[in-house]
Amino acid sequence: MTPLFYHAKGGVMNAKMMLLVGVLATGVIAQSDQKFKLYGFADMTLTKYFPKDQSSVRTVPLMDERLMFSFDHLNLYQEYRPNDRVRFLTEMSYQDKPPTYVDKNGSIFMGVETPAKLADTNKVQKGIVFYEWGSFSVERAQMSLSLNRYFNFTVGKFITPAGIWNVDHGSPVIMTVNQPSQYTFREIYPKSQLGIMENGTYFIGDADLSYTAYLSSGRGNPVINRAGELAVGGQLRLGLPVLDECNIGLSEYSGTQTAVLRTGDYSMYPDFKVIDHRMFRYREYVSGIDFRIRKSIFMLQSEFNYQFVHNSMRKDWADDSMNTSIIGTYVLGSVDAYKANNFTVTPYGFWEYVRYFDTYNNPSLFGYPVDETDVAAATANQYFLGYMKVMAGINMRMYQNFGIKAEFNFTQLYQAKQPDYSKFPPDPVDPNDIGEDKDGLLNIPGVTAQFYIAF
Amino acid sequence: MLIACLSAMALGGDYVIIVNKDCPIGDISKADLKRVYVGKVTDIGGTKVTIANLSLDNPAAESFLTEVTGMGSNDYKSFWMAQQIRGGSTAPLVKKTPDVMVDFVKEGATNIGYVPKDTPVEGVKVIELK
Repeated sequence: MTPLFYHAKGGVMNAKMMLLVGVLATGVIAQSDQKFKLYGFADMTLTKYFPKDQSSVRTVPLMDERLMFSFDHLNLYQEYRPNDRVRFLTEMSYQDKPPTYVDKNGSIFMGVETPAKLADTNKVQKGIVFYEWGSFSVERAQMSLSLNRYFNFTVGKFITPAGIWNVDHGSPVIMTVNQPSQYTFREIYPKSQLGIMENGTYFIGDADLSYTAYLSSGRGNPVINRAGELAVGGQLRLGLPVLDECNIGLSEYSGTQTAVLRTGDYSMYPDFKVIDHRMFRYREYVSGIDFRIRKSIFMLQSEFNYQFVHNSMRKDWADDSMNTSIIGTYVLGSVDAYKANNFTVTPYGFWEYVRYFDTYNNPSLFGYPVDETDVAAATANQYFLGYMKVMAGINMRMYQNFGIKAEFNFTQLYQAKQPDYSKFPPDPVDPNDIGEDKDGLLNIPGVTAQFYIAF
Repeated sequence: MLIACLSAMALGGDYVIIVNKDCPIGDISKADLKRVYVGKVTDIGGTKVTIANLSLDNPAAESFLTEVTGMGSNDYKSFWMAQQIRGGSTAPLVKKTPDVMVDFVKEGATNIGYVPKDTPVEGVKVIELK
């Protein structure tokens, strides 16, 4: 036997053994070819916004006036079905977001500072300071067991079954270039969760009623201090046999977010004590309703979501000072203006409205790590009250696998009304009142084009 | 329960629906067939089934999909691509020729497929679409 190579640790594998391993591996691979599938999609965009010269929006990453060409997603799905009842599915995503980007409490941290530097060769350069762009995430990693049409269990990390657009998150599926901001800029539902889920379908005549229920660790919170901190949720979806498609859904989610800083107290050595400092703790409830209807070449889709957040740390305050409310709604309409073999042109229009109320009661929701009991400090952070967004574009699909979208969008940011400091003392203002934007500094028009491929 | 073999041709376009000779399914409603071909269920009347499509550029496939699912072959492909990306089930098997489809149906007791009307169907059972 002739050794072909030396193992790094000094072992030796001979040619015959290598051949045997190769044959076995090939056999296994050949068997699993039928049961193993690999597919996915990728997309890239060209974007330009047109904020006014005096607009502070120009300092917000991705919303300044510079032309941006970005490779946004490469999502790979790996699916393995050893038999008809069991399925393993993973979805891994390369995303054009900085590694320090954190979807925490549904908000986005954009201000993590690092020493100023240029990105290394082959890394995406999007700004000199703060962060380098491009990161990977595991969107889902789940195992499903199908018993019958009524009982199907999934364990692992799954995409939250809420609304329409949280599940329809891929560029080949969604009509517009980007998902509604209520699912991306500030996730009203957690995009995915780690837990166990059950789903099934009932048929009522020609109508079908699908249901999903899950128990999870919630919004990215791997630590469960007590059973009450588990998250629960579900969805009911009714498909009616009218028009070409008529789908109505109800979604619910409830979870707890906590942050605890743990330190050790060695002052009474050799006795040791653990001290937990709770930074914030809140319970959230999210409810939503959605529908999608299609008739011939027309499609109409809409969602309305309401999130209620209760700050559990403010025990001594009146109820009103413990809660934050968020509403988010959108309407999307489209028409297949031209349809031929393997080519479809679909113009679309979209309107979205998101509004925050009493944000100072839960400043951690909006990325401000302040003491949750400090109302004065939190009030100072209560500035951004939501936005309204309008989009209009064209979606061109070719051979089901390729597509180009071109879109105009307009975003109007809402900022809290500020006291009139020309008077002393200034008149009190309701912190939920939207201030006037006389100069249009909070209006952000933009254009974007996207190319995607599904494989 | 075994149903007597039906030799009547399935209603509809230029295709017939075929099942294994030992399949307990005697006839199928269009609603049930649509549900399996769009992935909503994997059983018909409690019997777990495995389905297949003819190559989607076959005229019989276009006819079958349009009549049963309400989607032409291109829309059907788009539908399944979207289902995959949503993380739903993957598309049914595709059999390139009618002869391969017949062989597929013969292989499994609960396999279901369809072939052009003029295809020889010895060894399988043709069922009626309600």
